[in-house]
Amino acid sequence: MSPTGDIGDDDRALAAEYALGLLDPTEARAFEARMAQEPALREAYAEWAEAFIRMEPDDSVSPPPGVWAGVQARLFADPRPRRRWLGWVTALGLAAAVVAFVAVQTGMFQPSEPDFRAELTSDASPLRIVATYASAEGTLNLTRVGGTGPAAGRSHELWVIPTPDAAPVSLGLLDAGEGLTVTVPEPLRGAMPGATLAVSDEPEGGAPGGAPTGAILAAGTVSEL
Amino acid sequence: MLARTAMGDRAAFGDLYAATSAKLFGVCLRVLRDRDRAEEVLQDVYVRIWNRADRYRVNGLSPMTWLITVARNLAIDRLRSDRAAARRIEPDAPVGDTETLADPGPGPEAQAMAADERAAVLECLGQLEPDREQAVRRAYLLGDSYAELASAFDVPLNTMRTWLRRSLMKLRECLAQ
Repeated sequence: MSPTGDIGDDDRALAAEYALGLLDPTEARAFEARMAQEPALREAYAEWAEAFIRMEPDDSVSPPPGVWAGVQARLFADPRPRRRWLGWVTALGLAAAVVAFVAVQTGMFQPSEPDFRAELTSDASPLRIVATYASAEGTLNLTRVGGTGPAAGRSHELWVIPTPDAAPVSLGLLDAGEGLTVTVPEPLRGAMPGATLAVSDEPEGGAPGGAPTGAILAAGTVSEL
Repeated sequence: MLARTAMGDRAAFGDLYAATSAKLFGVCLRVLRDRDRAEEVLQDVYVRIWNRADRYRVNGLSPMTWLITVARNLAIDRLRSDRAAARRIEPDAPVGDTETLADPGPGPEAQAMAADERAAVLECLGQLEPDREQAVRRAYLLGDSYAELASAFDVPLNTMRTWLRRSLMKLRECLAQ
């Protein structure tokens, strides 16, 4: 920690108390108001914050996949036009690398006995989809049980997020009728238990860059039946 | 990643989540000691990070410090509002035990923190009297308030505050060397 400007011990201790969260709400607001005006105070606070962070133990714990799905649902399930849309478009190139080849067959064969299921919902949309998954054959069967299909000129696209750290991989479009049967590609099958399934609103024909561009309308976790 | 997240880049936000969510979940779990509540707060944390990523430079914090601070502050807010609610029902709710606060030791850090800076802080903490070191650790790691610290160490609140402020100034003197 390098010495900072010419603030007194009292203010320096106050900055530490603020960094630790020890001030009561009134004192804390007053300190923030002063910080906005006094760079030396801001600097003292930053020094304390950087020092206290060194007490952090190595206590990382991976959160369950539902947390990320929830964050996305809360931030991006807004049906209004995206104001951050441009930034997102530039990101599409990055995600294109993870697009997997997917075989989509609608009702061309009978699915085998399912042993996993997921319910896809969100607070932001009436769309509600029940998915069953037969792990032996990688057959994923989806049925829309609430809400409606995509609006004219739009598509509903199905994604799997294998782990919270992974990029979404498209599993196809949910356009026709009420249901869809998808054969999950071999490399993804092992990751299906516990994976997050999500449906996003996309331009007709699906997200052009292979990564979701629109609102997440419903999401859920694949769990054992 | 944080800079690109601030520009509204969702892929960068996903990368940021992948790289930092385990650490921030650890922070929430440590403060809240309840998995369900920690998961709820972790969602709030990333919603706030997305919404405020463009403002993290304002206080001059490094990106990781800012992220941990957001997580810690939201977890502490939740802890305090829950405890306030619990106290209305059960006036003598305990503030939690101190056994979990053993020195974590200098083990390898998940975050890119300079090992010698970390060692310096731990070294200077170690120079405080043991109960004062414990108080500083509790305040930071568990988010204890002065009232909770005073009750845990069985001293009047004002004494606790004087104590802690003095310990903090000692800590600073040591770190400045």
